[in-house]
Order: sequence, then structure tokens, then C-alpha cells
Amino acid sequence: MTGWHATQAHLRAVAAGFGLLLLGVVVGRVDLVVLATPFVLMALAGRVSRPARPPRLVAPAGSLAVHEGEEFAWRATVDDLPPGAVVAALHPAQRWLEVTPEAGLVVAARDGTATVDIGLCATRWGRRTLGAPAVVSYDAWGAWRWVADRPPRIGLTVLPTTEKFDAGAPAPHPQGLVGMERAGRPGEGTEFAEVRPFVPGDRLRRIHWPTSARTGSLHVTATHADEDAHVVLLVDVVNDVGSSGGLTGARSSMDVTVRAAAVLAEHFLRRGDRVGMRVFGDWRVSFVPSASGRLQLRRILDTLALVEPGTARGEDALAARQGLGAGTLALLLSPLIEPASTQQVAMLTSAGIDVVVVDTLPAELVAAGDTDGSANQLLAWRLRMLQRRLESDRMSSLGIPVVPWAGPHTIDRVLRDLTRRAATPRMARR
Amino acid sequence: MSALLVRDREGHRIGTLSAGRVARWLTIVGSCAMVAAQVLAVDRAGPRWPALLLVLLAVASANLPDGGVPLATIGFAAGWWLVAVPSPAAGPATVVALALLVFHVATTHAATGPAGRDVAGRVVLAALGRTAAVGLGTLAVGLGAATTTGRVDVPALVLALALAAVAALAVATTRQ
Repeated sequence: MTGWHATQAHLRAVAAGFGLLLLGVVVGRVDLVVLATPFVLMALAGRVSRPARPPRLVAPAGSLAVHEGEEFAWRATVDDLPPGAVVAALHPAQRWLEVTPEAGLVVAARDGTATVDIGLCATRWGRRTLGAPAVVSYDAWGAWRWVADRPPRIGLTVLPTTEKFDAGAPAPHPQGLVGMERAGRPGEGTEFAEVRPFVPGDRLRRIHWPTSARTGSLHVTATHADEDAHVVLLVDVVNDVGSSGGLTGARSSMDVTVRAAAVLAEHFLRRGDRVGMRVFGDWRVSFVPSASGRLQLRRILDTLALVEPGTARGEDALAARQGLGAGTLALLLSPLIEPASTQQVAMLTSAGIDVVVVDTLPAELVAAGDTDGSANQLLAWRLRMLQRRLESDRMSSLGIPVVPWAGPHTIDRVLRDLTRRAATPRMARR
Repeated sequence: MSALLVRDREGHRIGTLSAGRVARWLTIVGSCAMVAAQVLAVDRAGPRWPALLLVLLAVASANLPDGGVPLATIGFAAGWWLVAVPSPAAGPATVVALALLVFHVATTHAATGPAGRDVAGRVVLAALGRTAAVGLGTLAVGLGAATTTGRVDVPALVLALALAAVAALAVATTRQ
């Protein structure tokens, strides 16, 4: 068994060629012999070119991690092809996956080897398995066909895109040892604090010569210490509102939540802060301990890619407080559909934790909701939106900032306000 | 090769329109139209419906190239030729044979891979080269037949040997 099978074209050439030839000889019509000639020649050529052994398909296997919108290729090589053979390949269509060329391609073999390159681009975060492409080889005359066994499927992890985020605002409570956040205490840092009289222990290069010359005594330039902050992302995935059209299409609330979490995580980790994450509403992933560095970013992105919204409900509101202490900056990313998220915010605030609520419900959904729903569903949605606005206003009146996510710089102003507020005394329940 | 993808409202692909696909479709239907034109030119008084049916079969072949429709089209064209053309010398058999060759190669090419796919230029050029070689062989046989028709008397033994050779070749080419 070589695995090569006759195509319809070869059977057609044989049937038409020899049938017409036979008929021409029987009825004595030489014109039928002429009509039969091209088919007979094609049939004979096909017979002669029949491949003796099956080709070998080498296709990628394993798993792959890419970012949303990142292009990558599925490349397979078919060896041991007969001279003049062609290879056709088609990658199955899949949701949130752009395939180029979408309708497949046919390539010619060179020296018995054909390489198939299919461009792929994942348009939504998540973990999924790619469909197995179909690969078929034909001999030079299209008379014989070899269908490859389906190549192994590739596990694909699509990490959420990390849009460039360059907020200049510092975190309100830097408490660590090293980092880029401006601390409240003076120390060796880069941000100017004041010009003060020289005391033993000050470095000579800190001396501020203009002031020293004017006053007659040595003065030095004092700076704020640089420290890192503890930031925790609280990701509410209890509900996914709206339908996702991928990176360039419509946004669901989960799209906004996950991408915003990725952007914020990258921003604070790049500044040297410690970032942790807690996910509510997913039974598989719940907690990423705080750490810093690029590995932590990958850990958070991997966790975000795993998120399946709405697979766990009724979690204890106290869970949000685990591992958080006063001085932690908590960023709650939520579409604010579930009332439990409001309770969590209240609990964290009463514990002295700075909470910034990032509203991740897309603006277009707030206005229109699910337009395909019935009149009752639309009415219910409007009522829920009114309740949601009330809850949001109540949080704002309690001093809890609620900002709709609008890309980078969304929380810039809020962080500055929190930093200023951190300098003022206030009461907190411990 | 760029292609125009036709999608439904939900974005699912329902068709592909590419230059290569249009060219293949025109070649398949055009070659059958050529056969119909040649037969009608010989049989001016004959019915016109076989020509229409042949073109319809060609259209069906263009849409279903990897099936039995192309064989039915060839069979119908040959049968019509046999009925409409009274004698071997009366019609342009070589032209019809070449048109049927083009039809066969175009349907074979269309059946290679999914519809609307991108085809490398080398694949098309190689197919054209092979078609030209077979076309030259057909032309030679056609010219030979035209020059010998009515001049050579074939004995019964040669006919029997020819039949046996045809049968043997048919068996040899289809054996798996």
C-alpha cells in the first residue's frame, strides 16, 4: 500500500479514453479515435507517473503562546514527493482566528519537497486548540492523490494584548525596598524634595553650591526615596456581558477587563512594583501571589488567558481581603453588574486599602444592552443600569474612585488624587 | 493571488471569487462551448438543445469538478458528435479533441485542492506544459487520421489486435 489513490480525473481519462477508442474501433470511426487520443495519453501518463511510495508529512506539534493580534505561521513540509507533484492545504476556519489564505493554497514541490505556510492570527485572548489542517498531495498529472493523516493539533495560548501604558502618576503607598515609586520619606532617590542644611553623613556631591554661597553655610539637595508599591488586581469575571468580535470587532466586558488587567500589570511591573492578582468568578484560577519582574507578568498573562467567566459564583466577599494590607493599592476591574463586587469594595475600603474601581462595561453596552433581546429583557437591562449607576454614585460619594476604562491614562488622575490623599490622616478599621 | 471572499452577516465565508477561479470556470465552460459550436457548424439542420445541455453540463462540471459530472459531459459530447457528424471526414475532430483535452485538464486542475484556493504560478505553468505535450500528440494523431481516412483499408486481424491492445492498456492503467 503506497497510500496513493486514483483521482476522478484519472478514472475519467481511462473511461473516456478507452471507451471512445473501443467504440471507434468497433464502429470503424477514426474521428472517435482522435477524440479518444488526449484521454488515452493522459491515462497512460498518469499510469506511468504513479508514485511508488507514500510521502512523509512533517507538521508542527505541541503548544504555542502568542499575544492577541500577533501573526504566526503553521508550516508543514511534505517529503518524498514524486517529480512535479503539488500539495494542497487548507486550515479549518475557527472563531477568533484569522487564516491566510482562508481558502487554502496549492504549492508545487521542489526536489521532492513541498513547504506549506499558512498565516494565522489569533484575535482574542484565551486558551484553545487549533484545528488540524487538511493536507493532500497530487502527482504531476493529477491522476493520483495522497491524503495525509490529520496532523497533530496545536494547543494555543493567546495572551491578552498589553497596550503601551505610560502613566506618570505614582502609586499612593510605596512601602518596599527598591522601585521607581516616590516614597513619602526622604532618602536616596531621584525626585527632588527640598534644599536643607548639611548634616554629617550627607554626600558631598549633594551639596547645593548656590544656596551654600548665598547663606554662608552648607546646604544639600534632598530627595525622596524610591520604593516599590504593592498593587493587587482584583478581576471580576462573574459575568461576561456582550459578545466578543475579537481584537478589532465588538468588545465584551470580559475583553475590556482582561486587556485592562494585562495593561495595568505590565505597567506596574515595569516600574518595579510588586503585583498580584485575584480573580473572582472562575473556578480554575483565583489567585496569583504578588511578585515583581517579567516572569510575574507572564504568570499573570497566562492566568488571564485561562479565565472562563461565570464558572464560579457566590464567593465569599472576604476573599478579596486575603493577603492585602493597609497600603496596598487594589485595582478592581469589574463591569459592576454583580452586586457582590460593590460589597467587596466596601470591605476593602473599610480596611484602609486604597481601592480604585475600573468600570469595564463597554460604553456601547451601557447605552444599548443586548439589542436582540425582547422588550422585557431590554427593560430589565435598563433597570439594572439604573441600579448600577446608583451604586457607582454611592461609591463615589464615599470617596472610592470609579473610572470607566478608556485605555492608558485611565487611572492616572485617580492615582495622583490618592497620593495626595495618602498624606492626610484618616480612620480605618483594622 | 488575491481573492474576494463573500461572507454572510455573521462573517462566515460562503464563497470565494478569485481571478484564477474565474479563469478556470471560463476555460471549462468555454471549451464545451467550443465543442458545441463545432458540432453545430457541421450539423446545421440538427436540434439546438444538445448544445444548451452540453453547456449546462459544463457549468455543473465547473462547480463539481471532483465527481462524475465531467465524465458525463465528455460522454454526452462524444455521443452527440457520433450522432450529429455523419462521417469521420466531415467534422473537425482534432479541434473537438483539443477542446475536450482543455476541458479535462481544467476540471482536473479545479479538483486539485479546495475551491478558491491560492495557486502558485509554477503549478499553473507546469500544467500548461503537460497539456501542450498531450495536445501535440493529439494533433499528430489527428493529422495522421485526416491524411489516411479513406485511403487505408484496415484488415480484420489488425482491428482485433488493436482491440486487445486497448483492453490491455485499460486494465494496466486502472490496476491499483
